[in-house]
Parts: sequence; structure tokens; C-alpha cells
Amino acid sequence: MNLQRFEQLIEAYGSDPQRWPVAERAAALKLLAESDKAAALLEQSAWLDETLDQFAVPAFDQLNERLLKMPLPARSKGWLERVTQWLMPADSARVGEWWRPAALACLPLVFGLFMGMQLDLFQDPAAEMTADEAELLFIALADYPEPLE
Amino acid sequence: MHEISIGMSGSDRDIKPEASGSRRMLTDEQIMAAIAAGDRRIYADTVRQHSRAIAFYAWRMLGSQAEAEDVVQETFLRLWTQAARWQPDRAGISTWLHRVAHNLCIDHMRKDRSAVTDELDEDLEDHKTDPDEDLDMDMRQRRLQQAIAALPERQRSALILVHYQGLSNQAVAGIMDLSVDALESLLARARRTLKASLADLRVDSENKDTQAQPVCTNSRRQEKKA
Repeated sequence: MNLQRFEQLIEAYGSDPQRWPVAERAAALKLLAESDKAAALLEQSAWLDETLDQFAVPAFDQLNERLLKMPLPARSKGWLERVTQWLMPADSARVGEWWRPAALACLPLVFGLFMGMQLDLFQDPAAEMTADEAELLFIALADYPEPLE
Repeated sequence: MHEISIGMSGSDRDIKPEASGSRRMLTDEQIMAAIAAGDRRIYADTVRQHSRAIAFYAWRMLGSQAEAEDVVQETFLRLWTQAARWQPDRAGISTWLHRVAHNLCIDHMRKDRSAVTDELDEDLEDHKTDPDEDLDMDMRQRRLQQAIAALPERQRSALILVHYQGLSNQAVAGIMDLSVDALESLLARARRTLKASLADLRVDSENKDTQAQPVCTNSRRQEKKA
């Protein structure tokens, strides 16, 4: 902390050390205790802080009452929050406590079945051949009497 | 860590604790998680704890009690609806609320450039006691109001957040999306402007050798005296 930085602090934050940045406060106070110039700078700025402190504000006596009577809107929930709340409602009846998690547990099984049906792993490829393709296959498998040249 | 109770605490120097009820310590993260989950009791406690600080900020920014209350109402509606979006690593609840209020105030000012009104005088009418003292006080209040209202909106917000709301430079820089260096530059310009525009108040004060007492001020100095 030097006098130049001290002056910058006073110009920005005023003469009350409580408003100075915490990280620099101790060093600024040390300089203030040791330097007459720093004390003079502080004194020159103090009147503005005293003046600003006289800025009165209304009491806002009824404010809390008004705020607490204010109707609170329903919050829009994200899809994940809605699904989670449906699956595990906080205030559900007893039945909701087990069947919904069970339904959630079944989802991977349903998903697996669906994907398995889409892949058609066990379907006979010949079943989807056209007539021309079947004839070519028949010819290819036939036992020719003459060798091909 | 915040003390949630039927009462208030924290760094906002304008706020005086109310009567205490049942108390328990919750972190900001726990509070916001509870509000996000729909806990109206925690929400109400949070409103009681922070509402006046936000109201004072909005009032100093806008100069109108009605508009300030609108900003506070919208700020706490957003607390209710957007608590789930709050990120604990970015800001505490107070700083988050100030950020919301700051953005709302800037929106208000841009919609209505004449937002700063003479309502201050009406708001303070009820507190008058001594006619001579009040005349001086009234004049000083009006001058202060005018001087702060005349600041560019970002300088005004920076000054109010640091001087009156008691937020740290890091928090204010975060609220205003600034670097700390840029914040210090804004603050220094604001204070230079105020020194020039309020210089006659200093002279008056020195000549009269009296100090007008604030009615309901941000009074670190008063606390020190106490």
C-alpha cells in the first residue's frame, strides 16, 4: 500500500474503512496511522460520507405485509422434474410409493423389447426376396449337366 | 450462512433486526433449495430478512416509493419462480437479490427517464418535528436526492450498492458485470461529481456547525456513536 493507492481507495470507497476492500484494509489502516498525508486525504473526503449518510429513506412499514400477501404463481417445471414428481410424488398414497418406481424399473425392459423387434435378427432373408431374386438363387443352386465355359 | 428467523440480520446496514422467533441456521444453498421446492415458510423468512434492503436500494435508485415497491415485489416473485436457477458459486442470496433489483431498476429508468420524482419530500413529510431543523433537513434531503439522481445510472447504482447497501466491491462488480477496476473508476467519478454538486452543503454545515439528524438513514456513523 502506497499513498497513491490509498488515495485511489479514498476516491472510490470514501473515508470509512469498513467500505474499503477487505484485502487492502489492514495495509491502508497501517498507512493511515503512519502518514500525515494519508490522514489529510481521509479528512478531505470525510464530509462527503457524512453528507451521504444523511440521505433518509421511507420506513416501508407495510412492505412485508404486502409482499407476504402477494399471490405466488405456480412455477413451470421442467420435463424431468415433472416425470420425477409423477414417479415419486412426495405426498403420494401408499400405492404410489411402489408401483411407480416399479414402472420406472420396467422401462429398460420395454426399451429392449422395442429395439429387438426393430432389428429383425431372426427373420429369414429369403422371405423378403423378389421373384427375380428367388429365380436367380434357384438357378445358382441348380446342378448343371454341362460345365460352364 | 444466514440466520433464518422472524427477524433480520446481515450486512445491509439499513436493516434493523425485528423481534426474534424460532431460529435456525441455514446456508444460502439450503434456503434456495427449500424455496425451489416450494417451502413457503422459508420464502417468507427470506422476504422478511431482505425486503427492506432491496426496497431501500430501489428507492434510492428510482426516487419513488411506489416504483421501489413494484421492483421489490418483482424481485421476490423472481426469487420464488427462479430459485432453482440460483448458482451458489456465483453469489449469495443478498447479492443475487440485489442483482435482480439492479436489473429491474435499470429497466424502469430506461422505460421512464423521468422516474426520479419529488416523492422523497412526500415520503418524509410525516417525520417532521422542529420547523427550523426540518426546513434545513428538507433542503439537504432534496439536494442529496437531486445530486444522486443526476448521476449516470451505473455510477448511481455503484455508489448506492457500495455506500448504502454495504456490499463488497467483488459483489458489486458481479452485480454490475464489471471488473473491480471498472467499479472503482465508476465510484471515483460518482464521488467527484457529488463533491462538486454538494460542495455548498459542506460550507453550510461548517458555517452553522450543526448536524441535521437523519430520520431513517443508513447510519453507520450513528451506530458508531451509539
